[in-house]
Amino acid sequence: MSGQPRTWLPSDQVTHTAFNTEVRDALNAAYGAPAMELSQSTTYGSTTASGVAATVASFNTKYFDASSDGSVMLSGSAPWTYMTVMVPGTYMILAQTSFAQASGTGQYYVGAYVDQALAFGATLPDTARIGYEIINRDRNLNSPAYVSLELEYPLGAGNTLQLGIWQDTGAALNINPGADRFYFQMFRLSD
Amino acid sequence: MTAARLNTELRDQFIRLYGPPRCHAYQDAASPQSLTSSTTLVVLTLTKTSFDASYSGPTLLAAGNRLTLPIAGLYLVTTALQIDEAATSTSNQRVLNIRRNSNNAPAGGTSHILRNRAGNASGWAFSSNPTEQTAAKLVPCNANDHLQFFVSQNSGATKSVLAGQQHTFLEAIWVRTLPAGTP
Repeated sequence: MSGQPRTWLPSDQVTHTAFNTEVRDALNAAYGAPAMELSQSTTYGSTTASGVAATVASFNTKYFDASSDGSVMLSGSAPWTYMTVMVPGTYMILAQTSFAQASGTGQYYVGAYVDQALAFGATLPDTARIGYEIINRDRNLNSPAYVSLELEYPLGAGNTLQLGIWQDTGAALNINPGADRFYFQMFRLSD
Repeated sequence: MTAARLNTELRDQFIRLYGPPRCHAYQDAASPQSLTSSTTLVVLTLTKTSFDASYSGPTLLAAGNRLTLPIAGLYLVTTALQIDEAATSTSNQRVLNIRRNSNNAPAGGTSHILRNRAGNASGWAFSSNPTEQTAAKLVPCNANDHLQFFVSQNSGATKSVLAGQQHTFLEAIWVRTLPAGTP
């Protein structure tokens, strides 16, 4: 449920039907706002291209995908490459990517894209990007590189959202698996 | 409709939404923690905001440098870590790890957030500047679960956490009921 609370009039009768709709359902919507988490439990092989064009990430593990109205943002079965907004509103988007240790210098990137719904590995257009983080590492590294994304964004019913990643260290890199390393979360904050 | 039911089924529900359980715990600026190469539980002794006292069960920052969640739900967990600068090193990783129900053990419970920053083999140093890392994630928790904050660094020397609420903290705020199947 979204929208403004009912303004009650002197002539209104507080029936059980009105109470269930205007009070119960509103509280349920607030207590059970749409929320979703995806992660990846196995290592991507050498699938991350070495370039500066963002390609679609995919995830094989759904931790939760819930809403008080019974709708879900993920359809079908794993792997998932995008989610679809069912309840319009302003959403918090949280994501993190862990690139494997690199032998070269380079940049690492994660971004969020709307209304593409592309398959794993497809190239995403910059025009669809709503937020991103990029880090530079100007020396060889001894550890994974972590890139994260945190933003709030208004989304309508039917909008899709997916993550794009890239790095330009000069060679393909794995993405490290694990729900604490590589994840994509959504949560509805408000109308 | 009785007053008791209105209070329980309406007033209390709105109180929860308007003032959800939340806590911001940080390290005392007067007592910055020294870090060796071992993975270490971050000392959190002060709170800026604490879990609302109207909720029953464990509240705010319990003993043991942990956030104990008073009610079940999905919590937005955010954290920041700053460590003092390090001289040139062949390693120089700084790792941040948020775990649930770890009970003081660096590998205990469930890891929910893992990040690091790193130096390099050719000797890139975090010279003259501390390093900062931040993270945010939704974490499903049962009532009485706890969250703890672990850190490690391997610069080759003992380094200090930059303490204080603006430098090194762990915070959580309840955002909704537990999604089915979690945690």
